[in-house]
Amino acid sequence: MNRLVLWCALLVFLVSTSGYSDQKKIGLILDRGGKDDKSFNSAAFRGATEAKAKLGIYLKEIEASDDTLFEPAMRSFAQKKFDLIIGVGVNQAEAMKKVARENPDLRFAIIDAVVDLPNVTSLIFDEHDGSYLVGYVAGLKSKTGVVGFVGGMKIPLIQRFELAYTQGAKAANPKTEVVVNYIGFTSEAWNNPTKAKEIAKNQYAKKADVIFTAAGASNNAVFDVAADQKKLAIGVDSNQNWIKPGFILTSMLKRLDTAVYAVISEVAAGTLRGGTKVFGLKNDGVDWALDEHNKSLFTTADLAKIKTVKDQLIAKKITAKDYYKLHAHTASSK
Amino acid sequence: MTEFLFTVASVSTPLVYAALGGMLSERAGVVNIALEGLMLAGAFTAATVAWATKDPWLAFVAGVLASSVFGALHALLTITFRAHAIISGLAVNAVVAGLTPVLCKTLFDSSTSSPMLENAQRITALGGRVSPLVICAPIVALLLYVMHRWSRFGQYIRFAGEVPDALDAQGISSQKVRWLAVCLSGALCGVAGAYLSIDHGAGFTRNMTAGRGYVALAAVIVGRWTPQGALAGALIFGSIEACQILFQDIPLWGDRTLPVQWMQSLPFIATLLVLAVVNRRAAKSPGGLFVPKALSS
Repeated sequence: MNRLVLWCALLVFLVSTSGYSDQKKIGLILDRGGKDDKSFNSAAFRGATEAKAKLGIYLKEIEASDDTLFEPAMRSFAQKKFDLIIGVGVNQAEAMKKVARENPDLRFAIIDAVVDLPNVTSLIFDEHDGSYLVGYVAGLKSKTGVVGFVGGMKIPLIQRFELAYTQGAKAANPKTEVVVNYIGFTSEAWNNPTKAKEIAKNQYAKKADVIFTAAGASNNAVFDVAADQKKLAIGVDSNQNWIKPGFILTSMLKRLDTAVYAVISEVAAGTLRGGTKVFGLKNDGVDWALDEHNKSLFTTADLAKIKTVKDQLIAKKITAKDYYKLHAHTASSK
Repeated sequence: MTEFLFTVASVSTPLVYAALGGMLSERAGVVNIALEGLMLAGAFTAATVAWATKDPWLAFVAGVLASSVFGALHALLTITFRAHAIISGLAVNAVVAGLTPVLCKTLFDSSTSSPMLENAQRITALGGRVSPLVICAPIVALLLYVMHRWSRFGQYIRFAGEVPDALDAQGISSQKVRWLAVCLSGALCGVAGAYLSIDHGAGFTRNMTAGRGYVALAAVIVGRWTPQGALAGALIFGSIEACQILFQDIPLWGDRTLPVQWMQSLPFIATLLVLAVVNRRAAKSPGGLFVPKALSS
């Protein structure tokens, strides 16, 4: 008797869970920072939750605490026949190549990398354009003529930020000196505020008065030092201006939310074709953040200069150096 | 130069406390690779209590207590239940690494970090520059040295690691001594953790100890299980860390610079070299290499 009840319950459960088949199922696999890193992953997660609210999709997210978990996470989504599986971050490219090849009937999307398979949509960003722009802002607002860059892990993606940032800073003022430091070369670097703080203190001691920090959850420590010493910092990926209002000059926005929302809405509409989508200055994929927290730091003349540079970048009158192109043989974008 | 010394002091301090803790525990005969997890427990608890009560010193005490509790767990597993100390240490590290994001999520709705703490919620630096915990680090090392050399309890700890039976024959429970040593070890790691999250740092970030527990353990070994050695070892590793912060991209010739990876591998290369040299010298000396007996079996 008991067993019969159990079987009935199981049957009801199966029927009820398979009943919502018209609702699109989206699986989101976040990088190690987790969905609350207030930066990279937060932006992706924001886009997905927006899609959930507006498009009524079913969203399931997984935070990978370890690089080896990407592949099993993708497989578990694939097994459950999710309509779209999104991998957030360049580290997931290899796992996605494998799983996407084994599941040609399923759709995949990857952020920050190009996976050349018909069922994978690659979402990439012109980080060099955005970094050039905030580099220009840094060079413009620096009084000492020294600006800093704190990278998280030394990988081509972050070196792409560094190269164009340096170029932009020197464009604003050719005499600008750029102090560059990386926190580490393992993924611990994204979660090492203690070391980030020492690096920031050291850069400010070397007369830097603006520091661009692209270091995941370690960013907060740089903001902390900036506020302590009444200097400036620049945030990354999400708009981080609010974290220490008045001490964060701007943030280099990388609109993962726009990209994730766009790809989900195409799946919902059934129009997703695959291929590579590039998010740049022109389609607001990257930008510099101006809001009520940092507005007072800029004069109208500053804003006009920055706008000119942005327009010139869009019109390709200025070309920001692209680390990927200059180091095509070593860059891990492909 | 002063900048360099300040950086050395800042980055060495958590290593000093953790290394002293590790030294105590191992000297009493309990291998302690749980330093990493113990520090992390202290860092999380201190940040949480600082956020909730706005009282940094209460938070400090809470952090120290939390780490002591996890130290007691390690003691319970290894001493009372006679579990293998490496396994137990790994378990403590794994439990803390897993528990902190879960609690973080429940309390702050963020699995990555606690809210950033205001300056009033943090331990204030003396003269705006030097934290009291930094100043206390060498003092604690000195106290432990005095205890280790001259106090009865110091003697008990050494006996617990060398000839526990002799201690038991004297009517002093070697198990109790080990328990105390491991709990004290936890407390010291708690100081290191609180330093990371409410003194040097402004809040808790997931896995913010970033391997410092293991570096501290290396300092214990390089320092041959003595308080002065642990202090020196922690300072050596701290100085190397400071070097990699201050001297990245050293120009070599032309456009070439020394890759940052080289600088960042330094602590590990240094550990290997120091261990090799120390071991070679010890092998030649008549007494051989000193390792607490309970650890070498």
